[in-house]
Amino acid sequence: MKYIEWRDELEHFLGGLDESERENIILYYGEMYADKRDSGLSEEDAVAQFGAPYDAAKKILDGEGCPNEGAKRPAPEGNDERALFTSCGAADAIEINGALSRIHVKFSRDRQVRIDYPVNSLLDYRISQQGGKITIKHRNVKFRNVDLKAGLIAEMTIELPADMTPDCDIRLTGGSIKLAGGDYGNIKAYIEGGALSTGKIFCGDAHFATDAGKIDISGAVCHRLYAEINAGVLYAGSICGSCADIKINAGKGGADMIDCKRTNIFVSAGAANIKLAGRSDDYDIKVKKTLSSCSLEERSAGSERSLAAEVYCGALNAAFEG
Amino acid sequence: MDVQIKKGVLDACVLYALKDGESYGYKIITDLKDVIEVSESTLYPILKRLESSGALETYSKEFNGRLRRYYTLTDTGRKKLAEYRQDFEAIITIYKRIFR
Repeated sequence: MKYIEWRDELEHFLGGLDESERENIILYYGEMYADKRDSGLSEEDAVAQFGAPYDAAKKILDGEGCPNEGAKRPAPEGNDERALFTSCGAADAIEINGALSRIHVKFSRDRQVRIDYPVNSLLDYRISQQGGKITIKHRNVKFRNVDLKAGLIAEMTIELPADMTPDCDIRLTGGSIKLAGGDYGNIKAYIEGGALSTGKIFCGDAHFATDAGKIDISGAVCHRLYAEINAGVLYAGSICGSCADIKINAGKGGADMIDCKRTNIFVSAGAANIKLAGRSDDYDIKVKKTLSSCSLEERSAGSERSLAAEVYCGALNAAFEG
Repeated sequence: MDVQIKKGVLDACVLYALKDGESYGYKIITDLKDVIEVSESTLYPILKRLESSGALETYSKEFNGRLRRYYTLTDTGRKKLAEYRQDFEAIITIYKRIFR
């Protein structure tokens, strides 16, 4: 990062201070930077030593745990009107190339939006959109929270850097969301309509529910999966970890490979196709079925692995591979 | 480290770095490097605090075609440093009794 970029970001994060105080701080860093360069450091190294602009600003504002009574602090979460960038125009594309501590984007028109966010900072990230198309690209961004809500006929593509681990909260009523490859924390997605798909992602707990849409997480590896399909389709990839809980009320669900200690499959109507790791002898299998087709036989193997299946009107097709 | 203790230690270190005369931000950090690691962002509030409490005086001087801010101890600052010294000696005595 260039010093000027670093300084501009710092200045942004110091937005809660008086102008003169902010100027003093910028002068202070300018002098530090010049001294570092004079001592033989490169621009890149000098800037790297300062740390991330957000962290530097935070330390200054907090006085390293020694509050400075004279300084005004930025307003707490949700109150910082100054940080709000509001645009009421009907733009085809908005490109944000700056330092923001939070992004809340809300669209109501049927528009295309592209957000290119190249800076490195801590974000509280909320997008809600009704209509149009939104493409968000991130490079080197540290996330804290991601909260995405896309409304009707929206299309959203999120590209996240590979080494970040945001917790994601997604609610989609139409359109599509694609989570590009990378490491995620816990993902929670509720798809009322529309489609959610993922690239090659690794995540902690994944909660997916769909009322009518399509969830394709075949590129995902998750530690625990909770999926509920009221109608619609869920197509899961590999699930390895402690548990997979799949509930299909109507619709269709499937998983490439479930390698979990506990697997629970509930099919009320609809169909589930799953493949499980290991042999059927490796599992304690409990089956409860009525008017349904289910390929499983109940057995008690005294094993650590369990598979519980409840199938009512639908079909469960479970295969083993091991 | 406890915030209050840390605050005291950092203030004392910065005062100490100025005991032999004027200095500037980068030099203070460099001089203290072997004693305690102080980042630029940590130093700023300390300098500001010490200045507003009257322990420091600041002025700008030209250096290499640019202005540099210098800091120097006032009498109050010198007194404060002497007090810290006494406090620390007392702490060391207590420390030796308790932990050795």
